[in-house]
Amino acid sequence: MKRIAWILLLAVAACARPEPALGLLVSTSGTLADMGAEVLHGWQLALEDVPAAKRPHSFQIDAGSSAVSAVRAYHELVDQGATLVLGPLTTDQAVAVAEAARERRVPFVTPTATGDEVTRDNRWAFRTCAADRDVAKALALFARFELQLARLVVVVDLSSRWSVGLGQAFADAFRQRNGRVVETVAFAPTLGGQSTLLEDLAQVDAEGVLLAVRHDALMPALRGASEATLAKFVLLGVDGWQGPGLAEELAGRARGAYVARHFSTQEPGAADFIAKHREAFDELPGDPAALTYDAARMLLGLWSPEANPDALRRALLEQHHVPGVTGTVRMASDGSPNAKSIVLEQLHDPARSRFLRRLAD
Amino acid sequence: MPDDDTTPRKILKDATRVLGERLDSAEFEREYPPLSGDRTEYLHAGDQSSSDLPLGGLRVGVVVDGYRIKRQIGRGGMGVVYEAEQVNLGRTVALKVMPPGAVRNERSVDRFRREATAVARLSHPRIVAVHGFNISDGLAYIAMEFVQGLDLAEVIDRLRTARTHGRRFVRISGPELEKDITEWAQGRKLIGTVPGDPRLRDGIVIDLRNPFPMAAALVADAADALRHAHAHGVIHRDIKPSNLILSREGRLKLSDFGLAKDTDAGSLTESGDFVGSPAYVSPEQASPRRVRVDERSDIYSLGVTLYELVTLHQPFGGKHVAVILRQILTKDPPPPSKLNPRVPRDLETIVLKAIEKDPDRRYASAEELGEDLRRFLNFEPIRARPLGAASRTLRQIRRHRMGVAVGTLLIAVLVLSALLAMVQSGASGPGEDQRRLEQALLARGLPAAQHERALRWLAQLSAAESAGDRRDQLDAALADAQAALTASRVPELVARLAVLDAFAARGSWDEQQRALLAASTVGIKVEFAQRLWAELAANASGGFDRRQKLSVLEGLLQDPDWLVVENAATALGSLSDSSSLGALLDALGQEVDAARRRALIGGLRRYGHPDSVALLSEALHDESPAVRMAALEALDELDPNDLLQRLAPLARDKATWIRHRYDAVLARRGRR
Repeated sequence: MKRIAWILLLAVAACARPEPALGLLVSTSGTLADMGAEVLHGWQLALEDVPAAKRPHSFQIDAGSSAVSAVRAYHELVDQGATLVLGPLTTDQAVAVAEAARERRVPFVTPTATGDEVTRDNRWAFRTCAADRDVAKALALFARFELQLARLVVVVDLSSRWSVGLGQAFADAFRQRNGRVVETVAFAPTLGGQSTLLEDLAQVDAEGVLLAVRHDALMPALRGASEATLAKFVLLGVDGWQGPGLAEELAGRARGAYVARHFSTQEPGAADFIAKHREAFDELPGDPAALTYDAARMLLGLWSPEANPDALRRALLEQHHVPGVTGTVRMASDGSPNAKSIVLEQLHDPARSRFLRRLAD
Repeated sequence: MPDDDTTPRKILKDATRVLGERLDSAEFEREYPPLSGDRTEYLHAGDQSSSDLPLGGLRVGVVVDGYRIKRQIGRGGMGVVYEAEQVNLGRTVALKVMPPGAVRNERSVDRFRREATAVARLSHPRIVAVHGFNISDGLAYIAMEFVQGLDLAEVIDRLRTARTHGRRFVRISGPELEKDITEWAQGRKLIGTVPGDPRLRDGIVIDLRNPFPMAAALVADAADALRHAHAHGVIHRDIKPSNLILSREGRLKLSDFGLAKDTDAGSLTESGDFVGSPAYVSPEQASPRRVRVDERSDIYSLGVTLYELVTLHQPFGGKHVAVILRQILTKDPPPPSKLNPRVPRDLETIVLKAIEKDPDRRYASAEELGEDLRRFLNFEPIRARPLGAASRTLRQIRRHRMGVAVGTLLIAVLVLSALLAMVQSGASGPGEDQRRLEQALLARGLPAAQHERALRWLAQLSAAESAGDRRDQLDAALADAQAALTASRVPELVARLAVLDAFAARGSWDEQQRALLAASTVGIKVEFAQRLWAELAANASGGFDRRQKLSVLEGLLQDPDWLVVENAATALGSLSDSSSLGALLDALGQEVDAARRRALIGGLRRYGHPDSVALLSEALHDESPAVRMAALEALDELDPNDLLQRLAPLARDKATWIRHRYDAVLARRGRR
């Protein structure tokens, strides 16, 4: 009798165990919802590339727009059976999720979080985009040797781990090429003053400004800047700049504006993806969609319901050459791709806005 | 032959000692500009001497208002002191002359006048007498009794030197003060261990194996002088070894009332500036808040002098003024017996009572201190009682409750962690836990309403039986913390963060929740730091006073997350409140993580204070090239006079880019 009871108990336990799945940690609410929608586009397109019969069991949970909500969502994904997680979106979220992953031992792959610390000393944290150090290096090389800039100001948002980290990485990279960062402006959104960010620099003896900020902080700064200030500085931007109205705001005002990105719609090698995206969603893909598309394709290719999280982790480390629309992933042992390429775009004249080059691929 | 005491080198050396910090000649010139124009000619009109002109001073031989300058004997913040001859009486005086630049400063003249009038109404054999003073026509001086001998700072120097060289006896007074004592000491048995002993005809000699009676006797004499000054309503405010002069005859005299103040007039300068000598100031003088300073402040400083005499160490050391002041406010001094095991227990008790942080726990008067020292000298029971372990704990709690260290989150976190660990391990009953938790929260100086709320929450967490229950409780607490932040309820938020940190630090907490907890608190702390920055910049109150808010930011410098440190350091650096410099320096000195070190250097760079030069120079040797570069740039901006010398190690730096930058600095300065 006792034996039967045990068998029944084990059977119930086996039935209660959630089905292994590929979890999607996507921000569909809050300030990151727009980018989250792009992530879903990329995911959807990648899923469509896989025959219906071979599509894995997958489900998504809203990661919200904060680090806390992302950690909650990660736990929920794992609780519900995810053995591999795609997401989250930002560095701030990914750093927090990385700590949770260390405890839960279920790997996650962020397609978009560039912060160097995301994958540092953590075997369960992966990314498929270029890290800050790559973005910073590409932009510093371009600023120093193409644009011949020697003296720059770096502007960072103190609330954002991504912004401060990227600003530091760029400053180091620029200095390593004999450039001089004459000032680092750290602003706090709580204190306000974004609208005078650039104007406050009018008297600084510098040739350019790196604005390591997101679109919502960038636009007030551009709108608050005088013609003279915008004519004085070359503006350097990063992937967080993406958003509506930017090119129009810069048109005819800026001396120059260049942005480092992961993807360009003018990139010749991405024509098929761009066409598919346009057809499915009636718009051009942005960086989050393209990066997620590449990451999702890689994960869909390696995920298996039989593989436990540790096996999936090891499989991720085996991804030594995975071409994609955002460049080739050559996964390194630290969970970050080796020398992932960067796109440089010129923005200041919408009519001439153009893809400049892909570096380091 | 020029007198050695008047050479610029000697003056600088003296100034270094008097001011408690090293000066270079250019800085010195700036502070004490040479006389110029008509006034210089006037002062030098009677000069018949060809002696060198001391930096910014009066020429030897010149007669000023009836006093003929003989040599310069010292230099302090309030003026240059000369040995001079009062021509009409033929007596030697010490003439303290205000620096010419200071005569144009009304506040300085007021201080000078106050010193003169304060001392003029004192008449005591242990206080240097004033013979006259004059403030007119761009000239300000005080003529004082000339005391030939060593001040106690020089005595301490001699004792230290003797100890270093393994000598046992040190002569500190007498006609043969300069003679080598080694020969004298051979075959002698030291007699007379206190000043005034008739057997000390050759002057006072201290036996390094037992310097305690002499130290106690000298300080008892100083206490007599202070008693007299206090009885006449004068607080000295700058008691330190160099202001206690031991005459060649072996009589101790209290001098330099340059910072003296009437007891009725409060304690601070009008601007709230720090006054005094850093190592010897009392906690109430060191406090950035406006705290009334009374006689007990002098007792503290005299206690520190006694401490140094018996241990040959100052209770609080450090290269930077801000660091010393912070220690005075927050740390307990090491017991003298730890530094010198021979220190008698009673004398140690007296010293520690004199330098209690809480003035109410010190000797109430100089008279009480002097009496206890004499009881010690006469082998009678002293009145002071040593503190037990329980008293020390209670004292800590009281000190925190006074608000001196509100915001030192780390301490609270450690206390709470320990208590919570005990709760978990079942080491003590719930009633006991709650009582101790209450004490810990009380120590943080928060309103009682916050205690009740925090205790209630802690009780709920302790009572939660399952991980799920605890998670719910924690979620609720995080939501409450967020709400407190949104509503700017600062005291509540400080309490909540302390408790959350305690849980985060607890090893046995639900592992799934730890990342959530860390992510939550980091977000809250970052926004909190920014809000505090905004409020401090705007001088808004928000429930906490300015110092308390600064303390919270200072506490965040210790946070394990570099982004929190970056925010706190940027805020403090941008606010540049003088009272926070020590916290930044302390944090940098103790930090082990490169990212956090870099953040702290960024804060110091914004601060732009010369006191950070030494620590930034150390950071030039950091293992992280990014930290080395940050230090280089910060130093370059601070631009100390010896910048190139400080940067010199970078000429061989492993990183090419750092060497390039170093070369650029050199090139900019025209060295290459």
